[in-house]
Amino acid sequence: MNTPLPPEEDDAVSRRLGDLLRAHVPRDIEPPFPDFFNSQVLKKIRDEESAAAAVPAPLRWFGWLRSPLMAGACAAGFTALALISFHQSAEAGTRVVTNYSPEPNVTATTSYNRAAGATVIMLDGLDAFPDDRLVTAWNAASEPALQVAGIR
Amino acid sequence: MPPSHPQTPAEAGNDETPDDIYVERCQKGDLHAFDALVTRYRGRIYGLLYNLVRNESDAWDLAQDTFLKAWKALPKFEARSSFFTWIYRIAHNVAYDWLRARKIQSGTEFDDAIGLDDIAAGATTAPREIQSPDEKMAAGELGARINDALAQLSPEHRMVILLKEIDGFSYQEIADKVGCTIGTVMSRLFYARKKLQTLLQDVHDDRDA
Repeated sequence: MNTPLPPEEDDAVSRRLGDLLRAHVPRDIEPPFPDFFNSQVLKKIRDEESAAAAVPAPLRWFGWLRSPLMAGACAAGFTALALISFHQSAEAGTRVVTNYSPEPNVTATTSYNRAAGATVIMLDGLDAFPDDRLVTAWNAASEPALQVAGIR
Repeated sequence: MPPSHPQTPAEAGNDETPDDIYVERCQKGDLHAFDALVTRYRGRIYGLLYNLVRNESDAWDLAQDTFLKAWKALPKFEARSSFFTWIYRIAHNVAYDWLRARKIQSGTEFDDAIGLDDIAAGATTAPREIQSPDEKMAAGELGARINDALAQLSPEHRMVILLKEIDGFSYQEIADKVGCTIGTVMSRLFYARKKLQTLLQDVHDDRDA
């Protein structure tokens, strides 16, 4: 039985086997309870469609986020924010939140000097410093006149 | 083999509406049209799946899945092929997915290298559905013998030989569908044929006589 057949005989046996299969294996078999089969297919479709329709409203609401228009608007918004942020950081140097002076006769103004790449705080109304006083830093808290609050 | 349920005349052929008309209606959400397509093709789809899985219950479930997937995919169906070719392909894919899941569950990879000495009736086979060889021999139906022999092949071997001999796919097409190499297809085909020849030895001998 397991003795190898000559190739041509083997081919013939294979062909006969193929013929047998094609002749005797049914290709069309009605499923058991065919009407029930149909009704179950339709029921599953209806069930799935009702389940999809019953998805909570917030989830469906997010659907509009996927629209191309919304995507474009979001992209434009992010670009604008990025540009503003870049512009501020490039233009402003040190970011001055607010100018405040506890001395009513002293006013503080800030400006950005592009050439120096520095933010300049101008304090008008202060007493003149003595020429021999070297100011490299100061403790604003120790000198009320220099308490320019809100500088970060 | 389950008995073939006779179709009513209305089911069998009186409905001559072309598939594409039904498909168009389905794409607009008409479930009645889909019902007609299910009626028209459930026999072919169930037959294909039954031949592959050899189990009524699994074939029934897989055929249901096939039609459900077809309904969901119908909006994208562009009629490049016939509706039947398209749904037949879906059914094949459903069967392969089932086979892969089954293989994963069993935790074993199918071994193609079965020695020819192992290829004997009752060895390394799927469960048999017909009760006893005596009953089967008494029935004397060639078709039943062949189908019983097919049932004794492993699902992988059965699938390959049916795709080759019944559906007429090439080695490459089978390899693509099943997800293996051409060499594996040829190997499975070789062993499937040998096994069937062994199981149907007397049929061959009678026909030769």
